[in-house]
Amino acid sequence: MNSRLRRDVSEFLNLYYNFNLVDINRNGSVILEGQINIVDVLGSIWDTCYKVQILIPHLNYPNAIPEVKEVSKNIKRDWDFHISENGICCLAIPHKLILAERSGIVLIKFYQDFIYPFFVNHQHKLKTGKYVNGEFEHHEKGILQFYREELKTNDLKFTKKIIEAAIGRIKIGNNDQCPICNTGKYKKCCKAKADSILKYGLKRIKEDLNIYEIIILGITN
Amino acid sequence: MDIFRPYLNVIKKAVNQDPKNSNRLFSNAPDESYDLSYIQGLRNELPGLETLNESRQLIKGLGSPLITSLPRLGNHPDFSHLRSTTATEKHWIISAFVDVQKSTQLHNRFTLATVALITEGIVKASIFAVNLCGGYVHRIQGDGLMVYFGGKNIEKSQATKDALKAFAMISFFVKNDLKDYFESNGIKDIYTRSGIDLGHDNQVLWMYSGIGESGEVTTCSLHTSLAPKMQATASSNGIVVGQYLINQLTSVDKYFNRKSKPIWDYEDGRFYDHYDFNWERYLVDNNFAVQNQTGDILLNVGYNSKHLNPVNLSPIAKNSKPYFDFK
Ligand SMILES: [Zn+2]
Repeated sequence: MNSRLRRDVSEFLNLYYNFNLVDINRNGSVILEGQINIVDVLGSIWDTCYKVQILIPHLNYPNAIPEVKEVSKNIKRDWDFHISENGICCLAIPHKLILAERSGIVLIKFYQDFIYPFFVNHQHKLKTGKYVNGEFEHHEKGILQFYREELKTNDLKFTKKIIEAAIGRIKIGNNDQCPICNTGKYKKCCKAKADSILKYGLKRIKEDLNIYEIIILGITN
Repeated sequence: MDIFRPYLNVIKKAVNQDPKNSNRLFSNAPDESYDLSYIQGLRNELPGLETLNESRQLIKGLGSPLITSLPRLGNHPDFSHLRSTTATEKHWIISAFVDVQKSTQLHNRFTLATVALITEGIVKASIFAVNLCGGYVHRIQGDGLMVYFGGKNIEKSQATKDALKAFAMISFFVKNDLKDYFESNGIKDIYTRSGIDLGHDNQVLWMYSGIGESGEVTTCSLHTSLAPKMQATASSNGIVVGQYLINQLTSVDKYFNRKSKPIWDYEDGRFYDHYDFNWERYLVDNNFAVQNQTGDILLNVGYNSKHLNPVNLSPIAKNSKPYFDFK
């Protein structure tokens, strides 16, 4: 365990009293186990609580993303609850997690930003039938939805070209006519959009491009 | 609602209605010039036995027997036969002291009647917690209580847990509910200090101390005497406990830190240790309290979750937008 991980785990355990260290190194991760109680913004305590394990990878920490396993089975094992058969919670769209990973996480903050809200949101879904801020569709459709919201467009081919520009598959000079929409100089047209998705990392957006290629091929055939 | 809320509410009303506080920028009139008749009504609003029984039923179930009256002070029911006699009896007991340190600022800000009601509220809330957890209030001294846990029909380990729970709850009430409220009114330095120790059968002598009716059934024990000494070493909102007490528990490392200087020197080479008690961890770990998103502690002993509204989940939940990508 590197010193940063050691420090973060110890600060976490000194703040959240019902979490315990259960394993320092199981398959390369620190395992914490504990209970999450739902307390709303008025300080009311909700009935359900969740027993969870947080698995924090040693490798590259703090540039790492913890995995959360819900072990109390208070979340129905169903796609609609964003949980796998063995309880792994799909906390967020990968892009958001990649951003956290790239900038480096602090365990307490990751818990407050990603883990705790996930369970509060589950409680909200149980009581009202929906997640407060909506949810991403499953699998590839969720990725399409992500770009739809991120780039504010429904155009699949346009999105694909933006991704291609971002990863440099099409070479475009700043002062070239924008080849994506043919309106004005690239630097004043689509460059900002292409640059903005680069923050999710080449590996991720290449995967996304792959998804777009397959889907567009499916539509044109 | 948390079980101390009714006490806090009365204290809040007393503070809000206090005429000296609301006029203090304009006058320094003596208390006599104010109409303080409302205080009597507020005193009657402080919860009594009915609330205690309601909370007990929430915790122990509806079948639990009602308490019809609290035992008189200085007369532990299991040793009351010693009253007005010269007989003595050796029997283990846990002695515990809690004292609420109140800022003298209170006297500058409020009428004496309000300060007295604040004290009464805190003392009553503490008595409530002690009785809820099976303890016995032996004596009330100013802003503090002397309490016994244990007796003839209870195990030492259970009495130990009861004592830790009761004192942790009292500390919680003052450290959180009360302190937050007074700090929002510009008054600092309200806190408790507590000391708890266990004496075994051969270390505790029960006897009647006093003349005729004017006396109490009390204990003579090194460990009854050490508890207030430990209390004196406690930090703000701290609870300090003796070695014999923590010997009753199986899991101790998590909750107790040995103090560097022993509390007692037997003068034969042996020393007696005392420990800081991490009561917040104890409350949460034993499900007497829960923590919110940022780790703040909320008591859930006898808590009833009424009036829950998902709208109050939204500000936290909106940060989460889940996805699913498992095959
Ligand atoms: Zn363009």
